[in-house]
Amino acid sequence: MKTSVLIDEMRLAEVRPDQVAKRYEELRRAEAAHLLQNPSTRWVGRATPTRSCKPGPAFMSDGLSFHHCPDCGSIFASPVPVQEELDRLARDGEAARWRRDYFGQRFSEKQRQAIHAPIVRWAQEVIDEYGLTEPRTALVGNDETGLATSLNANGRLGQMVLTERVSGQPAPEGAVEVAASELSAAAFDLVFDMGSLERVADPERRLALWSELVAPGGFLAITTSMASGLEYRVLGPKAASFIALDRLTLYSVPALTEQLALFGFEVVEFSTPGRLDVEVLEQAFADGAPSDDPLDFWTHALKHGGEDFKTDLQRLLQQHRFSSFARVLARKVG
Amino acid sequence: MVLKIGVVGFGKMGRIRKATLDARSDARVVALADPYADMSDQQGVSRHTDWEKLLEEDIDAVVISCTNELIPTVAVAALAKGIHVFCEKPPGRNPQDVHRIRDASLQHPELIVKFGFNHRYHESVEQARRLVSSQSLGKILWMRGVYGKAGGPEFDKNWRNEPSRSGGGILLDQGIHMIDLFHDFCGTFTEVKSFVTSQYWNIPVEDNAFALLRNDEGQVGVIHSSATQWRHTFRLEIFLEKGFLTLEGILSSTMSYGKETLIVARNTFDENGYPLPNPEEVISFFADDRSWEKEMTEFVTCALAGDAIKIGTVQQAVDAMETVFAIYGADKSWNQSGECEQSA
Repeated sequence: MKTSVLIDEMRLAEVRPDQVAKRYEELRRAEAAHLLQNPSTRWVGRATPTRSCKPGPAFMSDGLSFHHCPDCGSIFASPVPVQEELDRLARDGEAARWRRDYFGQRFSEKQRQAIHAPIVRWAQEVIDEYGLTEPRTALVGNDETGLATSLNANGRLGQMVLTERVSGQPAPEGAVEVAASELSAAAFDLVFDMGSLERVADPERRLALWSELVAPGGFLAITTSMASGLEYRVLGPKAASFIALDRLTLYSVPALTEQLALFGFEVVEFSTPGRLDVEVLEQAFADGAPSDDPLDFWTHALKHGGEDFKTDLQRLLQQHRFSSFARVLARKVG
Repeated sequence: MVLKIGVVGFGKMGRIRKATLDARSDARVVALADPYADMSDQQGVSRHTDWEKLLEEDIDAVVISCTNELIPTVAVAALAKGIHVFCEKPPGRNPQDVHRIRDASLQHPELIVKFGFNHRYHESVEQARRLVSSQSLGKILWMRGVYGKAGGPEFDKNWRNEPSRSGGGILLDQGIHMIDLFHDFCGTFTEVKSFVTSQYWNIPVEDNAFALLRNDEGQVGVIHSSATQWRHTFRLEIFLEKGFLTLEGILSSTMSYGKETLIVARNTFDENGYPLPNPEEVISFFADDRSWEKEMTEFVTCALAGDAIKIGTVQQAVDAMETVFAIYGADKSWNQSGECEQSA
């Protein structure tokens, strides 16, 4: 299994502009409150993220109850709204509509590049390194930003299929929309699951679907937030990106590896690219959160450490897979 | 079906091989042979001091992990008895030794013969190979490899430095891995220039070898194999038309060669198409050494299925051994000194 250090892949200001993040965060938190207050909301209790996880101490965030596995560090909400509730919000919710409007009307080419370029480069690497020829490809996530169009731009992917879309928007150029239920087993050589695992009610079901749809020898490329990363370990639920409805399951590195193995995938790459951890911490401390301890190390180090320290810290986090955002490439065994 | 295997030579490598095989469900070690090793902790297998007795057992395959001078004799005897053969590297003491194994193998094309060039299975090497094969970085221009160690305890007394048993020094024992990797990426070389020295250790074989190699396509390889590399080093640089790869460190049981890494850099170009210096580098770390397991997987599955092996073939072993001796031969002062004994 390889771990790549990709220090300059993402900058916070580009992928998570402040005014975008704050408005989305407000709307999403309002949706969580509405779900909690609405007696007709259906909820489902959940097992631990992996067979070996333990349901450790709980904490609350946005009114949802989160558990923390004391062994591996995975974080998961239980109970969670049933998937139909989450799909309804993704289709008709205020936050989703606002995102679609933002990405449709105000998304700059520079932002598009910042978000898409690392994924397009990654796809290129996978195709080159594993000698894939026009792989049959599926994409979940990043609907609104037009990632399918960017991935297809170099013409090296086969037919791009979008599964389980709920946005109701037309499929972007170069892609067709097909419901997962209409696909046959082993339909794909390459599946991109972009940030969906932490948002679905039942990530195990999602992995089971990919296990069925990815052909033996094919690849599953996942991006997801990681519970083992610095941002969440230091800031916990105070982390700006810890929006409860978007972080229903945060795997740790060993937990996600274990889950992928359970569904017949061997992890060949586990990297935590970007410099978001350091930038997020720096931003949080600048905003006055979260430590009450005047001798807090992180506040001191990020204030006085200088650019070299920040870069070295992020590099160290990546090398040891302690960053809060991961890209994972797993090969279907067989 | 389960492949029944005997292991000849139960030193460090023999134990690694047995442990690797013990983890498999399609293979079982049933016999061990070693005249010196303490095998009392090995229960449930027959134990011999004489390798010839081991070959009389009901076995399908033999792993030959003994000293170099015995390798061809054991391998040829095993093949004559219809037994598949896995040999450690180096494949004997000299080209004549490996030619003997090749000739016996040609007499028994139904049997598998595989040599232990496990570095080809390291993840950094596998990924570099995939990148080179994809041609996304263009054609290889040149390679530079350094593989060295600080000798080790009682290095000067080790059998590996007795010409009659080993056939050569550090180049034959460790540097042959780097040569095999050069062949993996660039094929064999037709021109060889070298300096072979024994400057520090009081041994009758080389403690350093420096060589320049060139193949028919003009690709050049530079290798330095050393037993005076006080900081243990494995580094292979591969420079191509559109970028470069650097493999630095290699996972081992002692971890003394550092973390296994691969640096990939893709050139960027100025407005006139000239390459800019210092392209961005992406460094990858590799966590697992599964080379022993993968190596045995190919051996066992091919022996059971009757398939041809792809890594560690007889031809690859012949090529590696011939390049080692071409390097010895290219330094006339080394050859004339008579220090490199090429006994058959």
